Amino acid sequence: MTTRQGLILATVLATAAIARAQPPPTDSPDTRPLTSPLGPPLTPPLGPPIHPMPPADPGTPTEIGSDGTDDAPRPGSSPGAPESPYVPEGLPPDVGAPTIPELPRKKVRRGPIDMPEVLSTPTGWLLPAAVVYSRTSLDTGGGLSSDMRVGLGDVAEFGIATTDAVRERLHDADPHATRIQPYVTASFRLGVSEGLLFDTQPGVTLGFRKSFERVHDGFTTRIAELTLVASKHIGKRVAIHMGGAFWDASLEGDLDGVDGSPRTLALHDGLMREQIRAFGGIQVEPLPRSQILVDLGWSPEFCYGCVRDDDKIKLRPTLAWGVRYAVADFMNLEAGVRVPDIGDLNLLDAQIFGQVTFVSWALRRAVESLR
Amino acid sequence: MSARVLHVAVCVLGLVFGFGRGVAVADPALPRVIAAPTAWLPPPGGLVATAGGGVGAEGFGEAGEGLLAIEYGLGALAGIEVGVDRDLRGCMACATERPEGLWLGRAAFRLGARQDAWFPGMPALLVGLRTTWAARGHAFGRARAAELYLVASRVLGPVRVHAGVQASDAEHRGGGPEGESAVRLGVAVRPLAGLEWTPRDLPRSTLLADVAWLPRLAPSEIELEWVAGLGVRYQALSWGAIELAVRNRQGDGLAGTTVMVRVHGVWAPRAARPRRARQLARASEK
Repeated sequence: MTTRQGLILATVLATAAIARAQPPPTDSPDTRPLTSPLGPPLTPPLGPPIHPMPPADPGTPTEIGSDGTDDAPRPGSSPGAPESPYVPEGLPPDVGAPTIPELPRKKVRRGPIDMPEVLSTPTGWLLPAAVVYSRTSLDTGGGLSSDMRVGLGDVAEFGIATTDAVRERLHDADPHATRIQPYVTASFRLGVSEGLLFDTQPGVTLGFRKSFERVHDGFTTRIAELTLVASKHIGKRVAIHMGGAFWDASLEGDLDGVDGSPRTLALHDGLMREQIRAFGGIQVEPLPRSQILVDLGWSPEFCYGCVRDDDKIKLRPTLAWGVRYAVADFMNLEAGVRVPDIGDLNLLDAQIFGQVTFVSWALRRAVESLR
Repeated sequence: MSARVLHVAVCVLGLVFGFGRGVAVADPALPRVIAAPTAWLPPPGGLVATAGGGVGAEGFGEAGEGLLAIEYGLGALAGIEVGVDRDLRGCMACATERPEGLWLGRAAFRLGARQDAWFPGMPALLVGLRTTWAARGHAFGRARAAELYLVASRVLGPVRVHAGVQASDAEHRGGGPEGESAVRLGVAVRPLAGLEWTPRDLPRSTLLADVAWLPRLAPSEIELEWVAGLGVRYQALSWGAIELAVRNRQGDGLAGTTVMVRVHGVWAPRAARPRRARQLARASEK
């Protein structure tokens, strides 16, 4: 105990000694009058020139704290008097006015961003901190989807979305897969932005997307996807995106159609290679504000009455190509063609979609204003 | 499947880099001659609207034509069109009755490069997909049709020439219950052609002619029929034109020719108008 008290006392004394050894505090560089040995006032990096404030004359009370016995004309009360008592005569009043130096305010970046999605697949670019992104999409197959995300601290983003990409078939001979929608998902992505660690480093994100349970036609389904994707600008007008996804999905219900007893089947019950898929995309900007986009991704498809378990949950390759047109800095219109299963190559299944995306910096500005 | 995926990917990448190489402005804007598509795109951020109707041998009700469509230009690269039309026809007893036009909701996405974009003398090139988004009010349940086309257009003095190739597919379920086996055309490839001639002495008038192929639905089969059109377009306003045309389809004979009237409107934002576009180009060069 005595030893411990001795250590504490020694620490306190040493700290006090170090503190006393420091020079007395002075004005910070921003508030210190900037003077030049040659006379004229220096101009700070930001803001107007700042003139030295003369020390207050003890015999001349200033307005603040004045005892009211000051008979001298107040600034502005006489044409011959300077606007400010600190302004040397002959100088314009606004030049010599005492300026309260303001700390430089960090400007909030605005304008277009690198989008978190190509058309249907994720990119390696994250939303900037506190930037809100939304996308609403409609297509000729009756699909409606939306996505809302917010950037977290320049290193992550969180989103809630409804997707129309998950499809179902009734049995092996059913040629038409129909959508299960709305299919609500939540996503979280984290990563490093492009060029952060070294110049040629691509943007890299690790994302996780998981759906809520969806009951449809007496079957309960879920999906989950873990993605790792890298995105890199090549020159000013081209960017490529490449990644890999680790999928999982589950299907629960009367899968055998014999006795009505429910059974659960998951994608991870099969081979692991059936869960891993590569995806990617490319974007080209031939004109300012206009981009051509192509991406290849994967979508789960459930088949309730298929005979083989391997066919009950499948991943289907999806191709999308289209154009993004920046109507304004905060708004993009996108349209194109989506083929839900390019393994099938059915021209009739190709869908034309249109979507609008908004990017808002309002939350970011609000956060900055609180600092 | 992987080879097919690779093939598709290579084709798509070729198109992307091809169309991305450069864009000129001030091409014409209308997306079709009469039935055949053109390679013209709407002005960036602009709208092209077409409305019209036509009467056949029995009036508007059966064999008549109809079209209402609006297209939006996506940044001088592409256009997306939404509308309804009666281009497709169907007949339940084709031996005894004439096919009638079917109202279908149609949408199209068109991605292209304008004239001279890659090299001097290059025609405008466009790849487009047109598909169905609604089919109601007739006996062919869940009728669908899709056309994927590649078309080239070029202005040659007073003449505008259009030529291309189109892959068509169509399907219906014959009005039967859900799940009934579908009747399907299968992918069929046909040529497209169109011609527009504006006489030098009549700069506001254009003579139109085209030929295209459209599906005709029957309860047990779907086949393609050729459609030939001939008409005149009069540019009454700087932003609007009116068109009078006749259309004849395969097997109809001369008596089955329909007569159509259409109006077109093209609205471009100020920045997309040719003079403004030149100013912007000069500014960007500086």
